[in-house]
Amino acid sequence: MSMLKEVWRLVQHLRKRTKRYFFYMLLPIPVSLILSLLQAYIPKMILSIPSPEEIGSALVFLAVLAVCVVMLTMISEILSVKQSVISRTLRMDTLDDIYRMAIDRPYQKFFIDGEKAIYTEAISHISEEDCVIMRAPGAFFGFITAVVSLLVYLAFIVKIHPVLILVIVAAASVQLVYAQSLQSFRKRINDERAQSDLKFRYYCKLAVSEVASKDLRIFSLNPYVKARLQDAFDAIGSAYRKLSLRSFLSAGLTVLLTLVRDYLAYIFLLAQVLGGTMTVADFVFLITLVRATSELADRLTEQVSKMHENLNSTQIMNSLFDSIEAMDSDARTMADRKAQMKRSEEIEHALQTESLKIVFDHVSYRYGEDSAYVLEDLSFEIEANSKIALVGYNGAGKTTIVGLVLGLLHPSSGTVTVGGLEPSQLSDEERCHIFGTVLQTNSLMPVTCAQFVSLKAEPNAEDRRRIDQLLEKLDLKSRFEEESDGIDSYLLPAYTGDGVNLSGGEAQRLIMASVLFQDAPILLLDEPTAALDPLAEKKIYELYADELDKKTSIFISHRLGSTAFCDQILFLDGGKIVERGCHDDLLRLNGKYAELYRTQANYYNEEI
Amino acid sequence: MSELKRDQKSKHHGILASMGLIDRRAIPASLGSAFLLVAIPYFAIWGSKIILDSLAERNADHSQQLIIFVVLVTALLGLMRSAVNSQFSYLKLIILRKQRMKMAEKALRMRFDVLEGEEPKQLQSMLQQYDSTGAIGPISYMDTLYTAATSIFSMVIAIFLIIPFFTKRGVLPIPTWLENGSLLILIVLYAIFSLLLSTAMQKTIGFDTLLPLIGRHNAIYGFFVDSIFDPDKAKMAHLQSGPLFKEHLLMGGGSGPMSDLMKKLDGVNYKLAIYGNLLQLLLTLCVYLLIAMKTWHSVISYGETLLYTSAFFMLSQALSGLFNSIPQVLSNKDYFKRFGQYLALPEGERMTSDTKKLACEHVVFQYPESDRKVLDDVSIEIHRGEKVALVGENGSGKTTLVKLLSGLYQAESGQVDAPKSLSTVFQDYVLLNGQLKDVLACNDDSDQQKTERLNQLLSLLGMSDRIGRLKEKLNSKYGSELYESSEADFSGGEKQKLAIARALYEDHDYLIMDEPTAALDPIAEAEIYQILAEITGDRGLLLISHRLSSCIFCDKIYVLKDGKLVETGTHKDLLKLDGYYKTLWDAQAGLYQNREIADSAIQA
Repeated sequence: MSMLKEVWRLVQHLRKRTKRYFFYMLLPIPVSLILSLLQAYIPKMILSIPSPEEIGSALVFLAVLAVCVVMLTMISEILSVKQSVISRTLRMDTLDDIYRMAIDRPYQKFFIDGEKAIYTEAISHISEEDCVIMRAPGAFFGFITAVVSLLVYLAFIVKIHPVLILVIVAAASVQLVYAQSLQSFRKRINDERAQSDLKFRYYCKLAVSEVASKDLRIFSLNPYVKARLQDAFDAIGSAYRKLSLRSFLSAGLTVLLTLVRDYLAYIFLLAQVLGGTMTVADFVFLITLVRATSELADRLTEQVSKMHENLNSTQIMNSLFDSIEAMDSDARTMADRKAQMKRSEEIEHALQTESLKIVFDHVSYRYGEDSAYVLEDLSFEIEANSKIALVGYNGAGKTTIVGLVLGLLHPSSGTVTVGGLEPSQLSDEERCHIFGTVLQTNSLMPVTCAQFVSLKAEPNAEDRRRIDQLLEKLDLKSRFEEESDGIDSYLLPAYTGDGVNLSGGEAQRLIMASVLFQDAPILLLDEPTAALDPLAEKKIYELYADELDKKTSIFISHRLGSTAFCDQILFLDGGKIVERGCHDDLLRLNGKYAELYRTQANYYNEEI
Repeated sequence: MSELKRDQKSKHHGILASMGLIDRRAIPASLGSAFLLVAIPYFAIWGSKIILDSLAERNADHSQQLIIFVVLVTALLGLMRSAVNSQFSYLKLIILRKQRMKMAEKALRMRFDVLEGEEPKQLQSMLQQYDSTGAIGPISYMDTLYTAATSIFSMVIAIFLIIPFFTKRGVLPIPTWLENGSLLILIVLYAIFSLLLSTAMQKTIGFDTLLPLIGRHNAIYGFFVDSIFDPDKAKMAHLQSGPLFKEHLLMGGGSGPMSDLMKKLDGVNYKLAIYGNLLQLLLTLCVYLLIAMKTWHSVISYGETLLYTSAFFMLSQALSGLFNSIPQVLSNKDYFKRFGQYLALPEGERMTSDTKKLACEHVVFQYPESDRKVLDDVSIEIHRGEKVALVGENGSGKTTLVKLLSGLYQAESGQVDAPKSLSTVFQDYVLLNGQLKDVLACNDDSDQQKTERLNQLLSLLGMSDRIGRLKEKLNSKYGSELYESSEADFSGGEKQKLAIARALYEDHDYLIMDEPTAALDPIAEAEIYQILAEITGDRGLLLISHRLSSCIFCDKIYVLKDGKLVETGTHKDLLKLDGYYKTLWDAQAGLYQNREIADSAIQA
């Protein structure tokens, strides 16, 4: 019963999302019932031979019935197309809703606090065409259809013999009970299989990956991968084997029950026909109905199993729809708040006064409750229009600080403010206005060069002029002039099939162009040159040094020499700032920074 | 020298051959299941007919015998069908995986340069685009074959059953042949119109023009969708690229060419439902009325009435089903052609020889789709015990040379000596997921041998403590793709050391390292370079690095520029030469020089 309740809730959710959902889902019930009764009735009519004077009217009646059958068939086919259209639209819309919700969630909540798992799970339940949105309600309405039809049929069949009703009901119950027991078995097997499937997909991906295949060949790992792949496949196969054996047994049971039922029905009917209490026409009509009940009983159990199978997905979809609704009302109240324009005014103010000072006040951060602190009790200020370098070892917390400044991460304790605002409270649009970022992880996107640089889907003429200027400045103009589409060339041919293949250095410069285009007051640059060769690296540094004059900038680099032009260098170790000052000060201090610097400089200086 | 196996001719597999390659049981199971599906209802109809006819004899015993016979045979057929059907559904569940496995196995055998090229990727993504729609691919092939076979079997049995009908006496005031033949004519007409209708409908869809557009749309949309769930790319969505992300996601997955196709398909399905049934109308009327007349004139028995009405309708259904399903079966042709093309791609193992040196002479190399020579007349030579560096800008051909020397490519001209006894640590190395000891020791050594050798190597690399802290030591599970959370979660520097440990596990004569420290901080970098000499031992080392500082200790430095070897010599020689190497050096060293204070710090 709780199962029916869950499915009913899902149906309610879907009804809210589609016009005339009930109409299209319920109409097939009477249509299919009448259709099957008519199909059983027509042979009976033909077999009840009319008297010669009634032949004319009987023929007309028969013709009318025939037309009805064809028309009802047409309606039921149209309805089934309509139903699949509805389900598909619902599925697509729901997926889009999930994506949009996911992208609106704060980064910290989504990736660090584990919300992502909720979304990916929901998606996994509707990723396939034939998913819960189609199956669960389909099973639900199929169940209703089967129950209604069965009741109507039984009302006719009771005429044959009441015992037959008992037999039919008993047979259906046995099937139902057996199907239930199959359910838990199926779930167990499927969990088992999902594990092997994960492995299977991993090794398939590995085998075709051009990156991994180098290592596979150098270290002769191909036989190993092949063996693991075969293992995983065999495990999947044996799980499915078990399932198919069980479903064979269940089908066998159905066959035996049908045998008993058909035999009894025939024998009872035979007795009545031979006893003269029943016409042959009725015999035909009733035996058709009896046979149809076996199909109905099958369908009944099938639909119940389907609902069971999808119970977990149904619950997940229900909670998803609940949260979509909650989110929608949330968004509305947010919009109300926005209407007051208060926040945007604050931001306008902050931007105008150019007082975008970055303040860390006793900030601690850790990724999750149980993990160790990455940053501990960190306090510092970055004045507007100053250039700051963050240096330190891998894992010293540099990237975490960048995340905190950007508001992607939320401090575990303490506060971070940028121009008096908490960056974690900013909307993505506001964040865009304030920060320009080149992160280690930035990459190109499958859009046109002009879109990428201007960050607009349709850059206007003025934008295009600026893009041209920037490309010229960054020495990329000629690269795009070679292309037939110019700055409207796509950037990732792997996705779009056509476009420009940029080298690492060119990509880095294009990313820089988009940051410069945007002209935000604060720049954050996290290892912008890690993948570049010395010449390309030098060029990028020079460009940045030119451009950074009137901006606040935070610069992260491993290569200490490159950050020498910064006003201040913060040296991080173990989540704390251990040294700060300008390059020369820090060298004079002769502490950790100086040591790190020496490690790198040694090689270059011993020759001089 | 090369152990290259080539499949010179690209064989084209037909659908049947390809399906057989994937699983030999697929086609028999589809056909068998279809046959039994059809056989059962026909037997039931025929059974009803003989029972009904026996009623006229008023012989209870005979009728009962017939009933028992019919019921038992029905049950037997039912059991057979369950058995075949469970095999059929089992095969449907595994067949796509089996196809994926064939492709993966093929990829493992494929020549590396082919695998790396565009063709396998294109074929693979096309195949996936097709079978992800569910309308094309091995599963759909089994389904459509099943449907088509159902129609064919049904047609044959129906025709067989209705033959006696045409011998019956006429009841209408028209010639008997016309009366009886009219149903046949109607059925044939119905079949022809169904065929015309379904072909006309297929044409309006225009799969050929839409599919490539859909592929492109899905790829772009897929990029943005995948990015939402990727912790790195998602940052872009929350930062300046946000507007572009929202723009693309607002479009929705159901928009664009995909939705055009879907709408067209819906339209076709609606039209088929309407027109198809209108065609059926006349046939239905005639069948019912004619059979009723014959029954009422006692030309046919009760049993025959039942038999003929059912058989005529099943025949008409079979015919329209046949015309719908045959094009569907054939629509898989393209899919299997591409699958065949994938399987026919050239195979080949790593091209190695028993040479005692790691070298190449006058090597020229260019990628198939490009007219630029990536390597042009390059000769280098490394002997055991030598440490050699290869430097150059991005795109100068360093990595290509590494792949060539590792035996992954074949040179266009020139000689390559790639010794079998060689390990390469690529810049984008991949450590497999699995137990650490299997990840690092890639051979059939016993667990004990693996543990001993690895402990030795890990202590050399300064990783003993780190591994020692893991609860299960070398039995710990490594990798985020197979294990949701794992204790063995390593930093970039640690992973780099593990990759080196793997390369050292087999005591090979030569070691190539491509940018081993690009992602590391200076301390970790210095650490690796400090131990580099020690871990290399008497192996021959080829080191590729951007960080020129790391090349100083090498015996020889090769400088590549635009695919040509421009300078060779020791660090000192090359600085004295005051050429290209010096330019590169100054660009980097400049960051550390020009400051007296720096010098003083160093002296301090």
